[in-house]
Amino acid sequence: MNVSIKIENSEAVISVAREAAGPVTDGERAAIGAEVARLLQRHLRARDASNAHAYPEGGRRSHFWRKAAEAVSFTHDDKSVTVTVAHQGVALRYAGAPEGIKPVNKKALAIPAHAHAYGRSPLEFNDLRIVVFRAQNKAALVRKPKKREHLGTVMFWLVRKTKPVPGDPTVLPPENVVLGLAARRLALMRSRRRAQKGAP
Amino acid sequence: MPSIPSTLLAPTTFAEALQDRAVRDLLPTSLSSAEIMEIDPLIRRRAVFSARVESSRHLTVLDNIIQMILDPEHNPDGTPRQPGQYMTEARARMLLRAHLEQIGYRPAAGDEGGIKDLRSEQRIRAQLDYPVSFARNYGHAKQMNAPGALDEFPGQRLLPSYADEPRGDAWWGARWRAAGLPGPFGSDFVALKSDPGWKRLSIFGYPYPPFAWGSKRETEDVDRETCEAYGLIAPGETPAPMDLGESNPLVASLPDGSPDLISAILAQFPNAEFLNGVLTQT
Repeated sequence: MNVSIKIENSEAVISVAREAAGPVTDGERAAIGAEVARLLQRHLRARDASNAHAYPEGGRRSHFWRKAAEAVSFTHDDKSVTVTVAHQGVALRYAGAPEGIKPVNKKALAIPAHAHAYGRSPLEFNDLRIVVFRAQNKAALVRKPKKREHLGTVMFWLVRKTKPVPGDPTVLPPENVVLGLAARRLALMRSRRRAQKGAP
Repeated sequence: MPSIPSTLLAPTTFAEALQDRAVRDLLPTSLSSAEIMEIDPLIRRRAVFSARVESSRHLTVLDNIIQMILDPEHNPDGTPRQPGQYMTEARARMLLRAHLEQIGYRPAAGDEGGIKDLRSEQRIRAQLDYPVSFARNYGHAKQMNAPGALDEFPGQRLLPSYADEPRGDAWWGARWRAAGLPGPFGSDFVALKSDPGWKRLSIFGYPYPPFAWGSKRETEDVDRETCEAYGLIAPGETPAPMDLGESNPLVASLPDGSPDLISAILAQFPNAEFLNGVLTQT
């Protein structure tokens, strides 16, 4: 599932750009799409930069949000402009999962428990084993213990269902910023065109 | 009345990024990475390859996985993938590793765990990350070549590196000037998208990122107001599009108009040979 910002009612954009008048042209919709796409890319890159502290144990950063920014695209038709992040996982972070997440075709979900497990599948490790902690009623995928280590490092917790995952609307830029920039771009295009034609 | 703008949660496809993959043919080769880099960038853009990978089967799997990262909810043949099977980068790495185990791949002695070992994490990431990044950046560049978008965003900015230990602006400034790009304007690295210097900036010969192995510098679109302020474009001037090497259809866009990938490579390297379908240095 992907997440998109869709500006459906072009009249609303025009009303914000006070001096703009008349129907929005195809070229103007392309420019609005490009403007909102740039905004969304900047927003996602800033999010990536602010997540710099995410892995205190020093795991390799996946730069999830930068990759999401790279996957931003836009389309337009004769009524709307749509800007989309075609990157797996962004929609889940935006919308959340109020019922929690359950495994599909699997018995359990593997939740990263260690910095080096983030952004990786358990199948990318070749030394994991299942350990059940009966007292805590928990199970984990644990790395083979090193010398003098009793247990080994817990890399993933295994769960049948996660707790409810709250949605995060800040995954996308605020609506008023999106709309304001779209309107500003439209107004700039039109005032430039008027200036070129020599209109007052 | 829906809110404006509204937010949609729906399957969508980055069609232009997928186009980057759709034009490619398999190019099994015994050539090293450095030798492949000598091939014209336009020819490389038509090929699915990985240094010293002679197996068409491996390249087919690689190409399919890359397409599924770009379009996580569909198989390469367009059929939908089931929820829970959507392609993530971790799943893609795991699939590629599983495929290599299935075909019984073994690295040469002494190559285990390094970049020459197709199973190594470093190599698996390189096989997936670069093609995906090229496809997305190509797709974005193609979208931005649309007349309305290009007119309002004629420029491109090289963004600061997000590497843990980035090279300084002085290093990049020298490289920027060596590529014949204008400025930089203080620490702002901006040039028109049509500037051929972008291709010279890239070791791969493309005007969009990634610009080098391991490079953590991306680009963003620069609006007309900024480009005019820097004197890159005059008011009222129509900007030229970024040269994506495809003003001609696929075949004609190969540098010498060769009918297929093999002919194009042989035309550029008369001494090259395709032994059993594998590009080999003679």
